[in-house]
Amino acid sequence: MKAAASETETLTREATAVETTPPWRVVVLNDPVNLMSYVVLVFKRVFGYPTVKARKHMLEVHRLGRSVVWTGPRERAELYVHQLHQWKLSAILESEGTD
Amino acid sequence: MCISCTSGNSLQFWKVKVRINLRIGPGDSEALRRNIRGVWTGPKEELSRRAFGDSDLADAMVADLAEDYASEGELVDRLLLEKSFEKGPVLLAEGEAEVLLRACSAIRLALREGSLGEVPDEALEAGEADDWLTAPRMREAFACYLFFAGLQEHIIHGLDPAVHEGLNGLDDAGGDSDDGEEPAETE
Repeated sequence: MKAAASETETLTREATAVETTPPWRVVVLNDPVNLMSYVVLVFKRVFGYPTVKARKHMLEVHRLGRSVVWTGPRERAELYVHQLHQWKLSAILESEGTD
Repeated sequence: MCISCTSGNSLQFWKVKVRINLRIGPGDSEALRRNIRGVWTGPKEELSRRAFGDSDLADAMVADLAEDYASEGELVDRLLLEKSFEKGPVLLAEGEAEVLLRACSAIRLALREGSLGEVPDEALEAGEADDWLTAPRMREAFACYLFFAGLQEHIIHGLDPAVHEGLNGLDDAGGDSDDGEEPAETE
């Protein structure tokens, strides 16, 4: 019984650790080469965003120099960054915990 | 370089095909090939290193990008060697059109860092670089830069015409105003 309680405590601690892991941000940086329409298409293809949302992020990149295009677990964020690199966009990963 | 173009898509059975009619003059294929030599030597590793650090993951990502570059280069080389754009409309399957689209970006990024390195980014972005094109080599490179931009626009129109809706006339000063939504959304 004591062993079971200890196990439960361990699981709870692990679950808490997972929940409190800060999410990761996928950030796209501006470049002077890629076309606005191209960036919109890439956001639609990579993230499945509707045109309006994809355009909103494109404009943020264009006007502010960067846009946080997705936030979530690290592994998925890494996959998205790699996909954006495949499309030749400048993308980086940021941890929300590093602010 | 003489370019005329139309584009569109068509459904052949259930597969999307992108039709690109971006005609160039006789001999222009060779000029394009001359200007894009060296683009396919490899991906820009610093992008992956910056995102993933100096790790095994970064190595794997770079290797994967290198494969992409190889297939993109192969497609562009084939189209230019066969002088496809000089002969008439080019019909591409959706996947091929995407590969060509990415290839165009790779080419334009490489031209910006190579032959067009002296042209300020603002001039490149506005497509008005005449003042900096001091040598014939640079003028030819800039013509290629514009050609591949035009090719991208036509592929995008063929793949997803909705992308262009609302983009006309957008610039730093105007266009869409922010709609008050949060800057980023989490899935």
